Amino acid sequence: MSVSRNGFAALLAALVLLAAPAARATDPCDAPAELLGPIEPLRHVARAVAHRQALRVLVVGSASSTLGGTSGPQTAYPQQLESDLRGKLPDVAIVVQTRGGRGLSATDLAKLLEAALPEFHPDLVIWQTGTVDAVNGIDPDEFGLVLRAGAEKTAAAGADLLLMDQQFSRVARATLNYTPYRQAMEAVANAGDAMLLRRYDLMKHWAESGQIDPERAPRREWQKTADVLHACLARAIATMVMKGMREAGR
Amino acid sequence: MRSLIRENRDTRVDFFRGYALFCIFISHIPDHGFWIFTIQTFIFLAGYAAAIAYGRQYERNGWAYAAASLGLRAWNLYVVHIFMFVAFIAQVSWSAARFDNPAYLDETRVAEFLNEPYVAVLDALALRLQPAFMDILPLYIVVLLWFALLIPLLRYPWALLGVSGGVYLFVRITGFNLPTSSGTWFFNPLAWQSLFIIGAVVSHLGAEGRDRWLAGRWYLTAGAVATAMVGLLISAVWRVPGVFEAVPSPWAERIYFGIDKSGLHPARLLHFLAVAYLVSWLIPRDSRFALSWPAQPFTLCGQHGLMVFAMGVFLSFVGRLVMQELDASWWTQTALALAGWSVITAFAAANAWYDGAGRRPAAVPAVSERTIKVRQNAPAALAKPRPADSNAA
Repeated sequence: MSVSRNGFAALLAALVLLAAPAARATDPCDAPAELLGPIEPLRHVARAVAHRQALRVLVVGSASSTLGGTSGPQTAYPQQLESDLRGKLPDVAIVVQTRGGRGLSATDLAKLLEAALPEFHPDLVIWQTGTVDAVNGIDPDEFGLVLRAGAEKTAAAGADLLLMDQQFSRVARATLNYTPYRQAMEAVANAGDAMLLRRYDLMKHWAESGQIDPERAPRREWQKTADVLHACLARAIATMVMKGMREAGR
Repeated sequence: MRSLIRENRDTRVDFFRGYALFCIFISHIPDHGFWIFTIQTFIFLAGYAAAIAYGRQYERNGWAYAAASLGLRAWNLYVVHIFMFVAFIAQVSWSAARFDNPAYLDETRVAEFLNEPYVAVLDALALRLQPAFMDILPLYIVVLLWFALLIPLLRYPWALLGVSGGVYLFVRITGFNLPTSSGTWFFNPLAWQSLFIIGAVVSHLGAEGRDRWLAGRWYLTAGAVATAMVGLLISAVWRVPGVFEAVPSPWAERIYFGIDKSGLHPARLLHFLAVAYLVSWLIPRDSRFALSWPAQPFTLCGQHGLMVFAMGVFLSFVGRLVMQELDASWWTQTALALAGWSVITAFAAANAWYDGAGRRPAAVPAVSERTIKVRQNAPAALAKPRPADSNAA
């Protein structure tokens, strides 16, 4: 009896040993390449980096950009993006500034964006939106028009645009109809040569593969999970920015 | 199942109505892989069916009776809407604990109405609160009440089209839409009523009337084919980035952002009518297609529209819960679609059995005065054999 129990324990240990490296070694940020695309050329970013050795990034967004549930502002994706980009572009002066707040719709954010463009002179605008509009049931057609007007203003101000769609969560999927808003964002990205960070699809992939699942994390791990999530988002954006610059250089 | 399908009517209409209801069921489960959403089909055929059922009531029993009957049906839908609202509250309050996570601060606002429940309840009762996936019922309710008002005009199709088209034009020009507590109606009922009314007029013309207007006109067919092709191109511009870039600059953007859904843009209206015309031409009246075994579940469900609609809305809600709490893999989604539609079909079959007073409808004498009248006036009758059926939700 005791032998078999020991044998069982050994088998278990072997299984854990076999499984553990496989589970640990995978990077929580891993995602299929097609979720980070399509890549559009980021001409303004490329020019700023090449000629001025500077890159100014403006983030406009609602709660997930300004608060995010992370352990602090340093671990929210805008700040992590700043350090990621500094790592990738060591000789470039990189400034990331965030504007927005909880409960702000695309229309509210468009006003903030419009005010920030002449003031901050960004080379890249990251516009995170769509959740508040879906919660409030704003007409998706209107939402698309607001985004498009904002995209045009951004282009006119000499900046590239990266749109970021909603966060994935199972509860939100069951209570909010994101589809028309996500389609609108895709349309604006296609029409204005903006890039789209498919945060919904990315987070869905991370949640379903068990890499990052804030929704099912126990309460004490909420902040830690959010930190990882934001680190991975920042890394995804940095990857897309680098690829977009290379695309512009061609 | 075949014996439960009534055949004294245009079963093509039933099939497509059933198919549209299936799409509504599936599309109300977000992230669900397979569906082609056709709310246009649903509203058009709702008008088509209503013209037969209530048009006959109007002719036999007068305006007051037909209006009361339509009012009862709208009331049934209203009750279903309130029931869905209660289910929504239950789900949101139950999930609220998980939404405590500050990572979802914006999403939490969907539960904000719980802070002032009495306002939310009043808004729901006034159709001013329309959370996601609860936007078709209010549209259907308003459109039925509007039809109760206009039903005497069925005899004067041009006048009916004039009134309905006038309201549609008003909405298109002014952009007017009814308010909700935080935005506007997802489907502007004042715009979408036009499709319902067109369906009613097409239905009321009867087969001969339609033949007189439509048959043998090559330019209509050519126009419909052209419109359908343009529609295909427009959806390609929407969906395929390469096509978007191939279309010259102002046009691509206009297609992208000009064709709204909420206000039923004329391009959507035209495209739907063209496709409907082509389908009715491709599948002739005497085709037995809708009675073939793969089509039977849809055709049977299409004959019990209101009940199937209500069940579909409710089961899609259950499907969303399953995907939220358990699993959302492709297998689960397929199982949800199959199980859901099986349950709905079973209910439709039970409803057909009940309508036949416990006998199979085929055994019900099909030669009542009403049936004969139906055959003469509107062979595509969607009407049920008993007046009491109008509240069979």
